Amino acid sequence: MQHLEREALQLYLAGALDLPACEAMAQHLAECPRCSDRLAELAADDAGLTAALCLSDAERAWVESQDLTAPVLRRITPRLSVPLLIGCVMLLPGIWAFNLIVGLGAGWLAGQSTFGLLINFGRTLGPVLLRFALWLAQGGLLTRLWPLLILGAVLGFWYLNHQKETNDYA
Amino acid sequence: MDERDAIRLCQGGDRDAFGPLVQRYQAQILALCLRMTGSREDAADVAQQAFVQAYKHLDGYDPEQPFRPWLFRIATNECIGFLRRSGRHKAVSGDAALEQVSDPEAGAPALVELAEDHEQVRRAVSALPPPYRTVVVLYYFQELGYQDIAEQTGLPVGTIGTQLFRAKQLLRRLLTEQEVISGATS
Repeated sequence: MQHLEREALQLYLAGALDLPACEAMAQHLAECPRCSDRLAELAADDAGLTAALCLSDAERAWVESQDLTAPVLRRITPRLSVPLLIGCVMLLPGIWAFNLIVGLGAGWLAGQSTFGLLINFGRTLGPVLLRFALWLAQGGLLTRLWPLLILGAVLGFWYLNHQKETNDYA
Repeated sequence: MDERDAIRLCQGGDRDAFGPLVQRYQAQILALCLRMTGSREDAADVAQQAFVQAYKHLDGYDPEQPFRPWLFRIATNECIGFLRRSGRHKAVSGDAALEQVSDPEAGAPALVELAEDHEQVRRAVSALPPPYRTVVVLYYFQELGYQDIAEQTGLPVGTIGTQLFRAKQLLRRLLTEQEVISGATS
């Protein structure tokens, strides 16, 4: 009689065999005392290991006495919520709009002063201010630095969202 | 607060909503980490890291699915990663050791009978290489089925059976050696 392998018996014991294989094995076990003895030994091993790996009283007391809430919350960074993300994305056009408004306002003021009472100012600093204001109104530095600003926003978002956790046990 | 509500709040950016989830599962996660690492200090560190990882990956969690298996999968992976990094499996090299292991004779004493007490069995389990220790802890301590273990570890179901079988062979060898050593010293 062909006896069953221990590995196959272990699978049978764990209920990991499909139905036909399980039925065939059950039939063999009913007829073969040696294999059924082996199965009993494996079952005894399993029961013993399950009992041995249970938490002892001291371990259970320790596990139940621990409170990980505060240390865990300290180690996690706030998640970047969707509204905050939208805020970050809207920040760039916001900055640009602010730049435009300030530029237009400064330009208007510079123009007033040019044609106003401060004639000397208008001849010297006025046109410079006016040119500067027009430059600002056209976007100023943003026209040249927008890739850097976008890169900065992306990096800032990434840093906030994926701040590296310290790994104490590595 | 309902678990799903807490998870949704966390996904919306409320860090404090994660506190109740930690409180609910910390004992179970700590117990798993304790069995996997064999040390209270390491277990506390790994359990904390598991919760941190869970929080970081909440975006990928579907609230309609049960939270516990998802969390335990993360904790198991953290334990496996810890064991690999710490190199504690060097006590026994799995494949090399298995070459010296043969099937026990019929009528051999039960595995646990080779040990003086449960503590000795736990020490032997702690000396197993990480893949074997993982399946032993998940099967005998967590009492998961092969399918669940396969899902948690990402291994095929057939491999789980083989690993468990080999782990028991290794345990038998380890416990036999311990018995010989303790017999020789007594």
